[in-house]
Amino acid sequence: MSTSNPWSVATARFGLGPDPSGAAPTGDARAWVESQIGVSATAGLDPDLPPGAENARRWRIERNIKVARKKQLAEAARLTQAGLTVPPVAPAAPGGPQPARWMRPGEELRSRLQRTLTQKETLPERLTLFWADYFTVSVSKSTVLPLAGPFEREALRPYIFAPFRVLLGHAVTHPAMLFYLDNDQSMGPQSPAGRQKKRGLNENLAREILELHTLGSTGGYTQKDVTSFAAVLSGWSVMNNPAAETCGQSQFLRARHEPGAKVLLGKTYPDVGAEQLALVLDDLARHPATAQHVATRMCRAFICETPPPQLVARMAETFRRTDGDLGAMVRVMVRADEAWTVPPRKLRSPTELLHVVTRLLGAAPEPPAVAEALVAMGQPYFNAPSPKGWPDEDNAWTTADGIKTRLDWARGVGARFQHRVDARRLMEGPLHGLLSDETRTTVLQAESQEQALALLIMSPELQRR
Amino acid sequence: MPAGGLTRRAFMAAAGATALSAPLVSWPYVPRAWGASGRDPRLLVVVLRGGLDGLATVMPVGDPDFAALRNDFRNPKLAEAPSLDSLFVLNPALRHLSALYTRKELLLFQAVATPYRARSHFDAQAMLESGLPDYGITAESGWLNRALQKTEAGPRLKKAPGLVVAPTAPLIMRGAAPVESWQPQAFSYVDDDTLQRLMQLYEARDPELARALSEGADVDMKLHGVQKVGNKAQAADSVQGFPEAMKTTGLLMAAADGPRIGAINFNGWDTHALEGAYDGRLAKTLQALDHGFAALETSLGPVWSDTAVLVITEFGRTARVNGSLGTDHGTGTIAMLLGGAVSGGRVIADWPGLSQKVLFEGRDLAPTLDIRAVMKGLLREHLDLSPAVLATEVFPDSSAIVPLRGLVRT
Repeated sequence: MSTSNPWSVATARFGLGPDPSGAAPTGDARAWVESQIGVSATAGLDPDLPPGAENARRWRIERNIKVARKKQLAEAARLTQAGLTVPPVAPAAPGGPQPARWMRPGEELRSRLQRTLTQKETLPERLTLFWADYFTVSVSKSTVLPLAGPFEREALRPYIFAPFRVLLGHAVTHPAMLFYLDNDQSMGPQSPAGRQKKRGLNENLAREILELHTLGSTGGYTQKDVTSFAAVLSGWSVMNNPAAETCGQSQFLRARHEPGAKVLLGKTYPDVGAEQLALVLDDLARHPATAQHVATRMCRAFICETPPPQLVARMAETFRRTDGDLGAMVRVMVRADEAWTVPPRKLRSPTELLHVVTRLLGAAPEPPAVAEALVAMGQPYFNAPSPKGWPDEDNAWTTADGIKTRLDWARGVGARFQHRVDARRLMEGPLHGLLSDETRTTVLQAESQEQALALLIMSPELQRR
Repeated sequence: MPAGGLTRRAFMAAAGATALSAPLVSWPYVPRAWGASGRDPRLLVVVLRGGLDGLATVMPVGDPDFAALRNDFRNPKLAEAPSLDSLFVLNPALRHLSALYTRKELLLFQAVATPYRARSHFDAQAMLESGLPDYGITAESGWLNRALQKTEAGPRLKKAPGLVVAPTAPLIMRGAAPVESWQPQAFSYVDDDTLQRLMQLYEARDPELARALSEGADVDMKLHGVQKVGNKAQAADSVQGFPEAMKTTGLLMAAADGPRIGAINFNGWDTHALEGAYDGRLAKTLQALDHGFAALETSLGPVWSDTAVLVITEFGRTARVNGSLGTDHGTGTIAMLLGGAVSGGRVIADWPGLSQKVLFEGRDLAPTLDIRAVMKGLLREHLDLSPAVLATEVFPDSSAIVPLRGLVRT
C-alpha cells in the first residue's frame, strides 16, 4: 500500500483489504472508516454455530465415550492376558442416536472467513482480531477446544464498541478463559471445598488479568496483589457435568470461594461473594495504567510498533474521560492524522493475510485446509504460544521461513484459482490505485495466471499495511 | 550483512546447483575453505518456555524437606529415577539424558536463575534472552546474537549465519548478526521462476522482504536433499514436533557449511494444574525433550563431539504443589548443558535447601547461581569469547558475574 492514497490506509490499516464485490474504492476514505464505528461484529454470523456451552457439552460427551471405551478395551486386554472370558466391548460407533458433533476450531475459522466475504466494512472484524489477541485463549488446553470460537462470538464480538469494563468482564469470566488460565481449578484454601480437598489457589488468571488485560507489567502491583486477586477469583469455575442443564457455562461456586475481605492495590473489598470480582474489575478498568495499556496495545496493533506518543496519550485520555468507551477511543485513532501518514511498515500476520486473500479471491483458499495453512505459516489458529498472544512488532512475521512458506502457499493458491480469478481484473477493480508500478508490471508480465496470482498475493502492498 | 548482501547472481547460482541434484548446496556467502586445525564448535540453545519445574526434573530427594513439599506428586515411578549423586535423582522420563550423564556428556545446574525476581513469563523470558542485568528496558537484541557477532573474527568459529528453528526469531537470536529461520514445511515448494520474479520485485520495493525470502529459499534448498516433505507438519516447538525438529536441526548444523549457532523453542512447561511430573503432562513433555536430544545426537553424527547444547528456562516453579496439583510461577530452577564437547557427569549446585525459612519469599527454590555465569563460561570456553567482551557487550554490566570454568572439554 502507499500512503499517498488514503484508500490504502482505509482498506489495509483499518480493514481486511479490498472489497470482495470487485468495485474500485471511491469517495472519502476517512469518513468511510469512521462510519464503521458502531457497526455490528456479530451480524452475518452463521446462525447454526452452536453456543459455547452447547459445544462444550457435545465435546465432553464425545470425550467421555472415548475414555469409557478405552477403559473397556484395557480391561478386555487384561482379562485376555489372564486367560479369562472377555465380555463384549461396545463397538466404536454404536447404532441409535449419535451425540451431536461438536464444532471444531478449523470449522469456526472457515465460517468466519465466509462472513468476511459478505462484509464491505471490516473495521469491526479487525477489532475482533485485535481483542482476540488481547484476550488470548488457546486450544493448547483441550478443554478450550470447543470454546475458543464461541469465546470470540460471545465474549468479544458484541462488545468491541462497548465500555472496556463490559468487554473485560465478559472476557475473563467466559468458560474458555477460566479453563485456559486454570481458574476452574482454583479453590480458596479456607473455603469449605478447599479445606475438605486440601486444595488451594491457582494464581494464573489473576496474574494475567493484571499484567496483560488491565494494568500492564509496569502497572505497580505486587505478588501480594496477585495472591489477593486470585482469592477474589476463586470459585469462578465451569460446570462440567454433561447431564446438567448448565453444562459448559461459567458458574460461581461459593463453596470454593475464599471467604473474607481482600486487599488489592491498597483497597479493601468486602466479602460479598461473586460480586467481589465485579468490584475489583470496576477499579481495574478505571485505573489510569489500564487506559495507557489498552491504548498502547491498540496503537501497536493498528499503526506501528512505536506509535506516536501523542496519539497514544490522546487515546488514553479519551479512555479515561469516557470511562473506557472503546468506540470513542477507536474514533480518536481513526481520525488522527498520524494514522494516515505513518508509512505501511507492518507485515500482516498469517491470519490477517488469510482473510485478505479470501476476500480477494471470493472464497477461502483451500485446499490445503485454512487451519493447516496457518500452522505452516507459523500462526496456528486459536493457539498462540502464551497468554500474551502473538508478537506485534512490525517485522515480527518477516522471517526467512515465514516469507518463503507464504510464497510456497501462494503459489499453490494461484494454481487452484487460476481459472476462477483474473489477476488483471483485480488490479483494475478493487486494487485500482493501490499498487506500485513495479508490482503491476511484475504481475502483468507473469508467465501464467497462476503465477500472476501468486505474485499479486505476495506483493508488498498486500503483505504490509 | 552477508545475507542481505547476497547478490541475485549468487542466489541463482545456488538455485542452479539444486537443479543438478547436489544434495547439499553450498551457502554462497560462507567461505568454502575450513580451518584445517582445531575444533569447529557448534552451539545450540534450547529455550523451554513457560517455566520448567526444576525440582521435578533434577529432584533433590536427599533434601529432608523435599518429600513433604512434593507429597502430592508422590508416584511409584519415582522409584525408577536414576541417581545422579548423593542429593539428586533425574526424572525417570529422561532416559537418554541419564545415559549421557553416565557418559559424562551431561552437566546439570540446580538452583539457577536470571537476575529477575518477579514472576511474569514475559519479563522473565525477556531477561533470559536479552542477557541484560535488569528488566523494564526494551531489549533490542539477544545475547546469543551478540555472541555470534563477536565470534566472526575468532580463529575457529567460521562466519556463518545463526539458525532459528521457529517461525519468528526469538529475542535471544535477534540482533545485527544474520540469522536464518527454518520450521517444518507442510506443502510443496515454489518453482524457481516464480521465486526469482518475486525476488526482483522485492529488491526493487522492499529490501527486508527480499532478504527474508532469499534466506528462506536458501535454507529450503539445503534441505531438499535431507528433509522429506510431509503432508502435515507438526510445530517444532510442540511435544509432537520437537524431536523431528531437533533431527533436522542436527542435519543443518552438521553440514560443513551450515550454521554453527542455533536456537530452538519448546513450549508447554507452564504446569499450573495437573502437572503429572512422573506419569502425566510434564513427564510426556520431558520425554519429548529427551527424544529430541537423542535425535539431535544421531543426526549430528561425528559432529556431536564438537557440540554443546544449552537448555534454559525463564524461571522455576513454586517449591510446594499448589491447590490444583500443579505448581505456580517460581524462581530458582535448573539449566542443562549437554553434548560431546561438554565436560559432564556432574550436578553443579550450591544447594540452598528447601526449609521454609530459606525458600525465596517463603515459596520458591532460592537461586544460588546466576544463569549468566553458565552462559559466560560456555561462551568463553566453547566459542573463545574474551572475558572483557562477555562482561560488557554480550552480557552488559556483568563483570561481577564470574564465568564458570571447566564446562567444556579442552
